[in-house]
Amino acid sequence: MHTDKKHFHWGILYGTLLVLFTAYVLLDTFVIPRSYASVQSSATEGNQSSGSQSETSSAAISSSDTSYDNGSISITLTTSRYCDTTVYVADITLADVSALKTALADDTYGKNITATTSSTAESNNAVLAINGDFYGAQNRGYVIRNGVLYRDTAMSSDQEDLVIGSDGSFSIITEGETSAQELLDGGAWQVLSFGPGLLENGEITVGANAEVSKSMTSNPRTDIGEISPLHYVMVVADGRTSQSAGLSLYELAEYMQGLGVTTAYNLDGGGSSTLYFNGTVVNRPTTDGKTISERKVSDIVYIGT
Amino acid sequence: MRGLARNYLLISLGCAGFSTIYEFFSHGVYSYFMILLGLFPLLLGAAPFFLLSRTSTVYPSGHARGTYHAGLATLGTGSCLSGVLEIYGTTSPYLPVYWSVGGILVLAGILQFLLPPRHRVD
Repeated sequence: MHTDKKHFHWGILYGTLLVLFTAYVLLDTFVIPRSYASVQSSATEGNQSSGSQSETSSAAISSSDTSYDNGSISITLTTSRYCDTTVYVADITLADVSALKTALADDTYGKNITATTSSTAESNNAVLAINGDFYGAQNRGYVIRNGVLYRDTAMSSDQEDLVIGSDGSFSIITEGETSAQELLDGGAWQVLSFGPGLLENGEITVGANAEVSKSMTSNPRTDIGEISPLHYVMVVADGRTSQSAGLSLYELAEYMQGLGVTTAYNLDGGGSSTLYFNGTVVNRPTTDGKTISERKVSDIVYIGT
Repeated sequence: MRGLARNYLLISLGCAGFSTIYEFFSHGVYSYFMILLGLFPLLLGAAPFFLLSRTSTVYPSGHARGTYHAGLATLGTGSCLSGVLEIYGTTSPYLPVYWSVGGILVLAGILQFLLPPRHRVD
């Protein structure tokens, strides 16, 4: 009897420890913010090899709900239907690659430091913005932003990254073939680690059944592509609602191919997919398919002066 | 032992129900850790205790059972947590703790049952 009681107490104690440890793991994963570097301090140490600053302050700006032009940045926003899905396409032509930028939530590199795409875009005076790769949801995967190396640990040898060079060119590499430092030394200005790559040299590189990690259905998507030097598209597809089903990666790749994109890369999707233009969230971001609201994310890709 | 087997069967049914509901609301994102959550209590709990009740006259001690239960609870919690994180699209450096601690406790429980008890000789 005494032994049974002792076992019971040990069981209660171990169960309590298991619950407390699990609560800590959940808090560490989703709640506790950890700041590793601020953007300003890192930027001063980073490679500042991007092109010259755009001279836009004196240029005339023409702007509407679907277009923006300041002489060095030209953006046209269109909406279309494809595979029962509403797809938003921002066609971007730049005079200088320095207008294609990324920003981190709260200007801080860290874990569980997030903000909505629109608030990060507003604080960076973005004209156009999409969510990035949500680097903060992972502990590994290369992170290079605006010429600064933040994380050099590979996710896996076959993890595909988008490299945006200081000349504005897009290329897709695998983390097994090169280190983050080598990418930086080779002129990488932005490295986004989500994927997979959808198009290379205009050819579809994902299989018909390819998916992000363990997704198996159509979903909201965020995608970025290069048509020609300094001519890009940012594409966001709504999903998970009765009005818009969402796209598979292959459908997205086909759509991008139809736009004439040569290199296309899939960014964080699902509830993260957000398109911001001229001070407004253009698409209908949703996580559960019922509530339309922006998810807080770690980072954005944006066009700004 | 039959009571334990029945309890583990109920736990595995509960886990299967939980994972089915969780997957239903996961918008097609799946995780084998979540889908197979009910297998830990079924294969490592209900099945062995049912077999013991049918085939053996020697049953594990309270120590051995306690250690084994703790291991299974740890593995099950680790599987559930891995599923939740995988479906969300993230990970945690602490997940291996569940597999290693749970595995060690399960093995220790089995060894406590299989190895003959040692007596101090004065």
